[in-house]
Amino acid sequence: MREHDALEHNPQVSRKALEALHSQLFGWALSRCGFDHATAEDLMQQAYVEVLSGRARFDNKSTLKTFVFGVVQNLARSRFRRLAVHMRLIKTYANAPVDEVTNDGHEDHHEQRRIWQAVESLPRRQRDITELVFCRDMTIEEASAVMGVSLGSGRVHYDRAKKALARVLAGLQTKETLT
Amino acid sequence: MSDKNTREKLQKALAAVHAETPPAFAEVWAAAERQNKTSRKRYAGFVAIAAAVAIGVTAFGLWSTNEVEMTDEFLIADALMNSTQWSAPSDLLMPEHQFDIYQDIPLLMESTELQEGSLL
Repeated sequence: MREHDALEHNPQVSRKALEALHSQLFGWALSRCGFDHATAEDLMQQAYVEVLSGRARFDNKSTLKTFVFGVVQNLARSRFRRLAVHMRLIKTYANAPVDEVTNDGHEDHHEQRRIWQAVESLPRRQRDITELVFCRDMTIEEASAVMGVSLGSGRVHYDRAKKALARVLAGLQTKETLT
Repeated sequence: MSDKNTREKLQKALAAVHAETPPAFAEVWAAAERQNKTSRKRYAGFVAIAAAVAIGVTAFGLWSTNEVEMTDEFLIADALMNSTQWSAPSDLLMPEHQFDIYQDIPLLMESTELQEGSLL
């Protein structure tokens, strides 16, 4: 079905539909480039250019959300890869002293940080599928499509990630109980 | 821990650690449209220049080939016309010229006598 604001080179995509996904997509773009806002904005703009120009073409084989998440993922993998690594390194070194500072008094924030660090410490694919399924509300099938892996492989990554996370989160709970 | 529980915990952790306030959609979209237009114009310009260069090179190639061939042909013809001359054989020196058809070699007068060291 072609909507009235369908894109010229991507007739199955409408501006309105993309706008509805904008904030979710931005979250994913942020995660792809080490949570650097400026880089994520560039990544989003580039993704929209890909869709506008028809270089990335949506053919209704998946949901629009899976499609645009995939576009961002592929862009991040190719041209933004170096930049993303760079940003991740900056974050790593920039975060180190912050941990010590936030240790005093901000217990809740500290706990959240430790939970998220547990996610970030997972192997790349396990981390990606965890984020897509638990934080971006995708099914394992959709997440696998975004990551470019088979459904079977996606299920394996998901299962391992869940087990690893359960161990870490259980450990955190035990610590909390002890303190 | 149930999936629901994990989801809640992770979403809360992500929101606490990384603020995900997105930029206005209209702004990003407008920037993307501008970039798309610019890149299309640039691409069209590049294609036009490439086509013009290709046409130019092909035309020059054809023109220069023709020029060499034509020059060669006409120079040779001109040179031949200027440097060679042909005239019909004449029977002017024959005793009965214009009337006789010679079937035998005419007898030429000759002498073996010398006068002052030369043949008569």
